[in-house]
Amino acid sequence: MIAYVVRRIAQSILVLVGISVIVFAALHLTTDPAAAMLRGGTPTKADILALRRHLGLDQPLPVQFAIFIADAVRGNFGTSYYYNNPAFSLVMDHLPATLELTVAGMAVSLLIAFPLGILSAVRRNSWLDFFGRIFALLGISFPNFWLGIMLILIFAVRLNWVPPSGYGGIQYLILPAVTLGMILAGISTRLIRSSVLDVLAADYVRTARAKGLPSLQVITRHVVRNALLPVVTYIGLQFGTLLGGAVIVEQVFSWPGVGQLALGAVNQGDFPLVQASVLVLATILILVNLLVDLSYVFIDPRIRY
Amino acid sequence: MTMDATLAHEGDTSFEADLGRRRLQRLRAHLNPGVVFAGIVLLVVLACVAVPAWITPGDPNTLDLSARLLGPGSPGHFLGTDPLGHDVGRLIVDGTRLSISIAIAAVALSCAIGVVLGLVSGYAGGWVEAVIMRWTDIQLSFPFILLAILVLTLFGGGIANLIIVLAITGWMDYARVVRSQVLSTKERDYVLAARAMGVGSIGMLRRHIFPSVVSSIIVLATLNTSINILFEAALTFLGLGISPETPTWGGMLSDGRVYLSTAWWIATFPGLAIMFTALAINIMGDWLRDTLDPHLSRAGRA
Repeated sequence: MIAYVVRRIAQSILVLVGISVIVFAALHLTTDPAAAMLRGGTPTKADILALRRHLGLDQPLPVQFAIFIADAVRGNFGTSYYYNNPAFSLVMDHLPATLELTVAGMAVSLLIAFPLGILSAVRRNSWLDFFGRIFALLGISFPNFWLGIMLILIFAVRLNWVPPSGYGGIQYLILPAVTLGMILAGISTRLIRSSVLDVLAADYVRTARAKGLPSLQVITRHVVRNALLPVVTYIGLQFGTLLGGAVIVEQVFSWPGVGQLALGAVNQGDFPLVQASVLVLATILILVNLLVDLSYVFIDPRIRY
Repeated sequence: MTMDATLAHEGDTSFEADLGRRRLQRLRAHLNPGVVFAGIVLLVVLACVAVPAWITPGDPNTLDLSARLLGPGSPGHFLGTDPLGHDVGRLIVDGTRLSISIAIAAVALSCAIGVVLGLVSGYAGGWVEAVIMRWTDIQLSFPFILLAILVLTLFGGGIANLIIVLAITGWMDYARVVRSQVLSTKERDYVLAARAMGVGSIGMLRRHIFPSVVSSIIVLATLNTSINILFEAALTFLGLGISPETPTWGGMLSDGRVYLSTAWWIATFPGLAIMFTALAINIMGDWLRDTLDPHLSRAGRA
C-alpha cells in the first residue's frame, strides 16, 4: 500500500509538471512577454530587445522553463502587468473567497442530493422518485450562469431578500452557493439514487430485513454507509467541476475570487496573472484529487493495491 | 399481443418481417411523453437552424430604435425587444444556428479524436496505451474553464478556436469507450479466427469493433452535444467566445445581464431556449441509451 501512495504522489507531481509545461509553452510560444509588457507606451525594437535581455527571455527555452519552475516553486510568478503587484500574492489574496464559495457550493449540492437521492431510491417509482429524476435531468440541462441570473432577478431584484452581488456576510453567499451547488446537485442525485438502488438489492440488506430490522434502521445502518463509497469518490473528483463552475458563478455575482481575477486578467492580456491563477487552481485541484484517491484506500478496507 | 396474433393479423410470416415488427413494437413501447416532447423541441430547433427565414420572416438587420426595450407581449414583438430594437424572438432564432453548429462541430471533432486515440491505445498496448490513458486521466480531472481560459487568451477567440477548445475537453469519453471495446474484442475467438483467415486490421475494425461501439458513441455524442451547447453559452457569456456582432444565446445572456432590473426578458428568454434545447437533447440521449444499449451505464437508470 505504501507503494501505491508513493506512486500516486509521483503521478500527481507528474501531472503538475505537465500542466506547467503546457502553461509555459503556450505563453512563450504564442506571445512575446516583453512586447506585451511594454504595450502601454510606444516601445521601439531596441527597447523590446533590452527588456527581453533583462527578463532573461533570450535564453534557450529549456533554460527559461527551468527558471520558471524554480521561481514557481518559490511562489514567484512574476509581476502582474495591470496591478503591478506580484501575481502570486494577488492570487493568494483572492483564493479564500473562491474556496469559501466552492465549499459552500458543495455543501448545498450535498444537502440537496443526499436526501433526494436516497428517498428517490427507497421510494422508487413514486411521485418523489419522479420529481427527483426530473430534478436531476434539469440539473444537467441548465446553463448554471443563467440560473444565477434568474435567481438574482427573482430574489434580489424583485423580492429584495438578498443583495444581488458583492462580498461580505452570509447574505452575499446564499445565491452564489445555491447556483454553484445546483451544478453538482443534479448529477449527484442521479448517482446517489443508482448507488442506493444497487445496495438495496444486495443480500445483506435482505438479511437485515429478514432479521426484522425496521426499514429506517436498515437504511441508516447498512444502506447509506455502503452506498456512500462510490459517491464520496465521485464527489471528491467533481471538485474540478465545482472549481470551474465557481469561475463562472464569480463572474455572475461579482464575487471577488480567483476566477474573477483570472477572467479580468484574460481580458487585459495580463499573462503573469493568468499563468499564476491557472497554476494555483490546478495545483489545488490535483491536491484534492490526490487526497480523495488516498482516502479511498482507507475507506474501503477491501481494496488491495 | 402474442406472436400468433401478430402473425395471423399481418399475414407475412417471413423471419425478417417478424423481426422488423418486433423492433417496431419495442420502439413504440419505449416512447413516453418526455421523449415526444423532446422530439418536438428538437424539430423546432432544427427548423431554426435550417430555415430561420420561415420562422421569423423579414430583414434581420432592420434597426427600429423607436421600438427599443419593449416588454414581452408588445404588438409585433412577442418576446420583447433589446436596447437596439431587435426582436428578442428573432435574435433567439438567429442565434440558434451558430450555437448548434458550434456544438455539433465540436462533438464531431472530439468524437474523431477520441475514437482514433481509443483505437490506437487499444490496439497498440504497451507504453503508447499507458501514455494515452494517463493523458485521458489528466484531462478528465482538469476543469474545462481553466483550459478554455488558457487557450482562448493566447490564441484569441473566434469560432474555430471555440470549436477546438470544446473538442479538446470532450474526447476522453469516446476514447475510453472505444478502447474498452477494442480490448474486450481483441482476444475473442472469432477475432482470432478471422485473423487466421487473413482478415486485415481494417476489416477487423469494420466488422467486429465498430458495430459494438456505435450505439455507445451515439449516446455519448448526444449528451456531449448538450454539454457543448451549455459550455459555449458559458464561454460567450464570459467574453471568451465569439465576438458580440454575431448573435449567440450566450452573448444575449451577457448583454441582458446589464438590463436585468429594467428589461428582464432579454436575459430570460435566451436562457430558456438554451435550457429547453439542452433538456430535449438530454432526454433523447437517455432514451437512446435505454433503447440501444441497456448495458452502457447504470447511473440514472430506473
